[in-house]
Amino acid sequence: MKRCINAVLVVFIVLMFSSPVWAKGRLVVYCSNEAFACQAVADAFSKKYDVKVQMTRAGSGSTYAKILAEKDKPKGDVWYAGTLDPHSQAGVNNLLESYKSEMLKEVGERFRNPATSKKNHSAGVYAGVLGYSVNMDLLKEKKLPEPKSWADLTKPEYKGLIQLASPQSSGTAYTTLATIVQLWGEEKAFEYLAKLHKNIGQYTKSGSAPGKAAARGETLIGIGFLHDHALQKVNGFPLELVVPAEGTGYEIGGLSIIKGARNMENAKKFIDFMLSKEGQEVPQKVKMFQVPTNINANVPKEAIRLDQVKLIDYDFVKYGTEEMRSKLIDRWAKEIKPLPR
Amino acid sequence: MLPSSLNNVSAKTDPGETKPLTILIWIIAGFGAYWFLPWFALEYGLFDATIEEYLASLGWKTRTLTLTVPVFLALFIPIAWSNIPQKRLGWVYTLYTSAGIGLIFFDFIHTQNSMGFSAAVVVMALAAIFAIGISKIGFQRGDSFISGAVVFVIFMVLVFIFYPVTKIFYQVLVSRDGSFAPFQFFRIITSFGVDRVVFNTLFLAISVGATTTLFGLIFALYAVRATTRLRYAVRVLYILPIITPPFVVGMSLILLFGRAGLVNDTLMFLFGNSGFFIPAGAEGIFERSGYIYGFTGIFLAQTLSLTPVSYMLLSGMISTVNPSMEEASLTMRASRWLTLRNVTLPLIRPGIANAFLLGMISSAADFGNPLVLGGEYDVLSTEIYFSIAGAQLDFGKASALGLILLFLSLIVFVIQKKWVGQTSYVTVTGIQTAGNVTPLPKGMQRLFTVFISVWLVLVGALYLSIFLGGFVKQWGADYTLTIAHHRELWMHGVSSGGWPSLKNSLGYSFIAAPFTTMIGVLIAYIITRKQFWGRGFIDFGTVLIFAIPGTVIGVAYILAFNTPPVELTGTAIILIITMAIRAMPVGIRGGMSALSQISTSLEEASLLQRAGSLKTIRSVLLPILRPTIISSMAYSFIRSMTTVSAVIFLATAGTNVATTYILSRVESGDTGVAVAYGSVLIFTMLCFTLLVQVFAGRSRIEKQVKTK
Repeated sequence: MKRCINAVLVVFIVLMFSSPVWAKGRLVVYCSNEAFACQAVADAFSKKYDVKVQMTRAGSGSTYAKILAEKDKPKGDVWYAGTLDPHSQAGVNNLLESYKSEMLKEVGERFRNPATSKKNHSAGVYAGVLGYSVNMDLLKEKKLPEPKSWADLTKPEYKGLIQLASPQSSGTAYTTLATIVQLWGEEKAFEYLAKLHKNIGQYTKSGSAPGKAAARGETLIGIGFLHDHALQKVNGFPLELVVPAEGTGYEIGGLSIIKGARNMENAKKFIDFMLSKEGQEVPQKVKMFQVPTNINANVPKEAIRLDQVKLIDYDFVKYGTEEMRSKLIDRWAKEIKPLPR
Repeated sequence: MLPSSLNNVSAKTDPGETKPLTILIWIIAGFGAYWFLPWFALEYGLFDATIEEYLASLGWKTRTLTLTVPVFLALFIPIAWSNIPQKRLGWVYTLYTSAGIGLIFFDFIHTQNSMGFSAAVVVMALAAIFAIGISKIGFQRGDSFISGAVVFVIFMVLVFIFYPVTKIFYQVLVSRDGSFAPFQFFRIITSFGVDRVVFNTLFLAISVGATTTLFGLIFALYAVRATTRLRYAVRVLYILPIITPPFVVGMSLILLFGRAGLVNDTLMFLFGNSGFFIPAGAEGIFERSGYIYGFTGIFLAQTLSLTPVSYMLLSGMISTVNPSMEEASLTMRASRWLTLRNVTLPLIRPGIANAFLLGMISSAADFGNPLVLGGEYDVLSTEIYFSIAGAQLDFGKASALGLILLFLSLIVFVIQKKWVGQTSYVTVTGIQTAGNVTPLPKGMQRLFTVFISVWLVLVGALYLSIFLGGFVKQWGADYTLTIAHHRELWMHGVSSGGWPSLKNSLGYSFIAAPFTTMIGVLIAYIITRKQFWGRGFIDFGTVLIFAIPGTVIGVAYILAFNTPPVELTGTAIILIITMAIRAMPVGIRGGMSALSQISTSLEEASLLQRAGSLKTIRSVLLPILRPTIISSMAYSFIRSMTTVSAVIFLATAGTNVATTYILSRVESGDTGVAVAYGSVLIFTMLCFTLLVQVFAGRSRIEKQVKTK
């Protein structure tokens, strides 16, 4: 019996701590993408350059706070993915390293230096189009017409059937808010949001939740980034992805080196890799359908191609500032959220 | 409480028991650690470090200042063998070691470095000598083992309970630029929506407390008093809350009652647009509804998962009611119904109050179900989580909400302990009582049978849906049978899918269980047997351990262990410690109830023959306590496997455990995989529980639940 227990113990310990150790240097990646995409990227880089990659996944807001907290003694080397706004903030607050990668010439014009600071602190590593998806099975069951535009969403027949994340807790929802404001101006935008509010069944916490709810049939329409929804569609759900006819906003995934990174050489290698065709095609292999920013990279057929939809000229500098952000979110929380539904 | 004879006895043992050799052993341990283990924490973990990094972290390689450590340690040797009188030697040890520990901490805080393993070992060695020192002065009548235990427990409580909790206070009371801001707390709690969250939490807690108590009472009366066969089915219910991770009930509710769940689907098929019973072209009379998200869902999930706990508590109470009192009532021609109302129920009133308060605490602390089912019904635990893991990281808000939750549960806990816990109407007198158990009134029994049958069918359906959900392609959309989910989890090698998290869960729980049981029993021993200055401190620490909700622990640990000198976030160690703290009430309760049944005369006999405390515990108490220890170890293990509320804050990509992995799959919409994993977890826990029962006997596990 005792020997048996000992054997079990030894097996446990060996299992727990068995991991390859010896590699040429390290890299600590703070990743704000979905966990599986982070893992895929880390594995690909680690394999190509024989670097031991340590990955910490957290949302972009949390990661920004972490980098801020560690600014005297940085622990991370690079920050991959997540909405651009927190990257911008970090750049403005001098937490990031300027780096002009060789690979930038292969990157689309507007993604080369999108951050507010304009000092090459961050590059765009992917783009994601905002829109909504409709559960076609439910639509058929309810015998409703398919919505095509932002305006359609305020029609009374969709009452209680739309989900949107709360701008107070989700960056996706803030992008939605900013997009509407840029489409019609602030006053008209809030009139629209008040009308939309009547049709909202639930404001979710997380930005990707509405798409998932639509996929499972928990709601008819879910507003969010369409690459999240494309994943659900590929998984076999009856989703129709809609890019609103009036035009829509998009997000840029940031890619930055943290100031004072301890593994600077590898950090630069990582940026080059992630901007290259090879690196940008990694996430789509694990069904992450964001649009690559490298012009040579293959755009997955499930993704929404940027050149085929009507995009607004989203002003990342103006709407990425903290003041604008809290102004719009506070106004939404005060004027729209308490309205009856 | 404390028999005075015990004190007198131990007073006779020679207060110079510790030999210089013991000191030497500790010194050698500190020495060895100093030369071979990293003095500073390794950035990338002990097992991931390169040789260079390892060498660079050794204290004597990097900083000359740390060279004073071996000199400091070596100085103990001449002191230990000198001829200083014992009492004075005690003072020397005490002061010298306190200075050493203080200097080490000061150095780490001052230089903003994080402590490594050898620093921890050296601190431990110094603490041990400190304990020997105070025992020589006369603490614990010179018993160095008990002194050591007390110092150890106080140290643990300080570092892993008080320090993190004060960090929460600090966060709330000090503004970002470091100045004192006493009104910040009020600003946060009066800001938008906090009152609603608190109201939601309380409303939910009270409803769930009341409902689970009522239902628990029905189950308990039925299990103990009914004459039908169904009562045997009720008696195995106790096992469900042990083996089920808290949020799984919520998940299965979605599968059944969600908008795309089975019930909605069926009703839609029968009565919806172009449904079975609806003539072609006519409007359906049924619309899909999402009522399960929000209060209804959380309430249902918590009621389902907490009723068995309340049942266990009340059935224990009911079986202690002396049947002869009821017989007396019946003899005086009161009906069975009157007897139940006027005799039985008043007798178990404390149990009812207890069940209600426990239900309240568990509901307020529950995190998984509100997370899965919450919708827009915000409660404290989920709000805390989202102020840390949401779009904006807001430690101030998380801490303020955490404080509110902590105080709520502390208040309820103290009411339960002081007010309800003391009054006992137990009618067991030690005299053998004869008499037959009064069966339930006929009508009542029939009513209960119907109620319980419905309940059992519902619970059966829930568990069946979890099991089947893992084998269909996509619940709600495509019910084709498939093993794809299980294949994804288990068939792609041991380093992908569900294996790493399961491995971590098993490994961490396996390490945490003996650790937590040992400390738990030690605390129980100190609380029930010892009286000394500073005991109130341990008592209060214990109350905190019992009352602190998991989400609060999570926030506190992030705040406390993310910065030097003790930097543990991201490591496996912090998860093991969290699991140990979360499971500690099991060990303490087990130890206390077992110790209160053992007469102190046994220990006195041993002490009289000049055996020390260590020897007494080892050869008298431990053999008697062994069954308790085994069962609390098993139960701690199970609890660590299924815990989620605290670990979700601390688990990272490399240290994911089973429950957090499942929740992350729920988050990303892979219900099939999540449910498949959940069913495997439940099944594993079931097998393990049954196995333990075979070895330790069923009643023990049952007792653990009862005292949960």
